[in-house]
Formats: sequence, structure tokens, C-alpha cells
Amino acid sequence: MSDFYLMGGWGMYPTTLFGALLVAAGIAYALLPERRFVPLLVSMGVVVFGSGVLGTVTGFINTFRHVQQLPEAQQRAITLLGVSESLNNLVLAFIFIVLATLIASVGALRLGLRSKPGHSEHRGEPSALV
Amino acid sequence: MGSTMRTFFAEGGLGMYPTFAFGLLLVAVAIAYAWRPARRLLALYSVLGVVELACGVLGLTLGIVTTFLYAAKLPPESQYSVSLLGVAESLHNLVLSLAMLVLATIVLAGGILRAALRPGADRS
Repeated sequence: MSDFYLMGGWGMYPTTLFGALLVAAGIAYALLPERRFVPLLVSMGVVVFGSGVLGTVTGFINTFRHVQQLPEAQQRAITLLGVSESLNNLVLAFIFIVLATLIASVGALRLGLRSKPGHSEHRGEPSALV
Repeated sequence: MGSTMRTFFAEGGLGMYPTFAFGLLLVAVAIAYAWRPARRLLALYSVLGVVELACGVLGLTLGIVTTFLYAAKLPPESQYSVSLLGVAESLHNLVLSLAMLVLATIVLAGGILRAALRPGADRS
């Protein structure tokens, strides 16, 4: 796990911080499924994804710059290694997004089950749903 | 710090300037939303966010095209390393757009949280 973090570089830390906030927002939504928390989940998801891509891209830049100083025979292998290490940022971001979405889906399920009887009550009055 | 920023902008090329301008606009809209949350600002934010990201990707793509056209005229032994250097510099456009997008979305999330916790918020 520490290797996974070290290989990813500094970008892993903000991604972890924002990812933890996203999971917290997911837990809040699962416990209190209300529509007002959905934009918060979406915006935090954008932040985590953006942070992961940002860490990946800065890793690519560092790799491509470093490769210039190496002998030609090593350049391709080191490029692949640097690209794979940089992608750890994106992996971490997706782990948090998938985890938070799974947790939030519990809230969505609870909301769905709760609103089901109300929905059937309105079945005879289409104007109430518009 | 100033010269690092200047180098960062210079290496990114022309695409950095529209990306920075739209990024500032995006941050301004996010601050306006955080200050006074209104739903119409969210739509504006979404559109500007797409424009910001598209600007970054456009700058990146133009940089890669320029790099590859230049690298094709070089001797084969230096083509690979020059291509990588050009791609690295072109990626500055994407870094700038993502940095502005992340910063603005953090500010926006603060506004969204404020709006959600407001007494009159929609609790459906």
C-alpha cells in the first residue's frame, strides 16, 4: 500500500483527502437520503476525478522530462514504468468514486423504497407529479 | 515562483491564455455561488466547466500536433525524446485547466453544502 502511494507521487495526497470527503458525503447521503445532498456528491465526485487526472498528468510530465536525460536504450522502458506509476493517481480516484457511489446507492435505494407508496398514491392524479 | 509560472505558461504555448481566462471566470462564478447560492449559477458553472476542460484539451491537442509535425523532420534517433518533451510541454494546458476546475469545484462544493444546510432547503 505504501509502495502504491510512493509510486503515485504527491498527487495521491489531495486525491485521498478529497476522496475521504466524497466517501463522507456518500455516507451522509446513505444515512439521510435527501435530494439536497445529491449536488454535493456530484461536485465532490468531479473534484476527486479532477484531482486524480491532475496527478496522473503531472506524473506523465515528470516522466517525459526525466526520460530526456537517459540513454536511448532505456528510454522506452522508463517511459512505460513512469506512465504506469502515474496512473496510480487515477486508480485511487476511481477506487474512491466507486466506493462512494456504492455507499450512496444505499441511500438512493432507501429513498426509492420510501417514495414508492407515495408514488402509488398519486397514480390516479397525474397532475400531482408534473 | 514567478519565473516558474512564466516558464510553465511559456512552455504550454498559446492555449494557456484562453484556458486561464475561462478558468478565472469559472472561479468567479464558483465564488458568486458560494456567496449567494442560486440555481441559475449552477447551469452557468456547468457550461463554463465544459468550456474550461475543452480549452485545456484543445491546447493539448494543438501542442501534440505541432510537436509531431516538428519531430517528423528530425533524425530518427532524436524523434522519440523530442516527441516526449513536446507532449510533456503540451500537457501543461490540461494541468492548468484541471487545476482551475478542481479549485473552482471545491469553492462551489462549499456553496452547495451551505445551500443544503440552509433552513429552507428542499428536504424531499
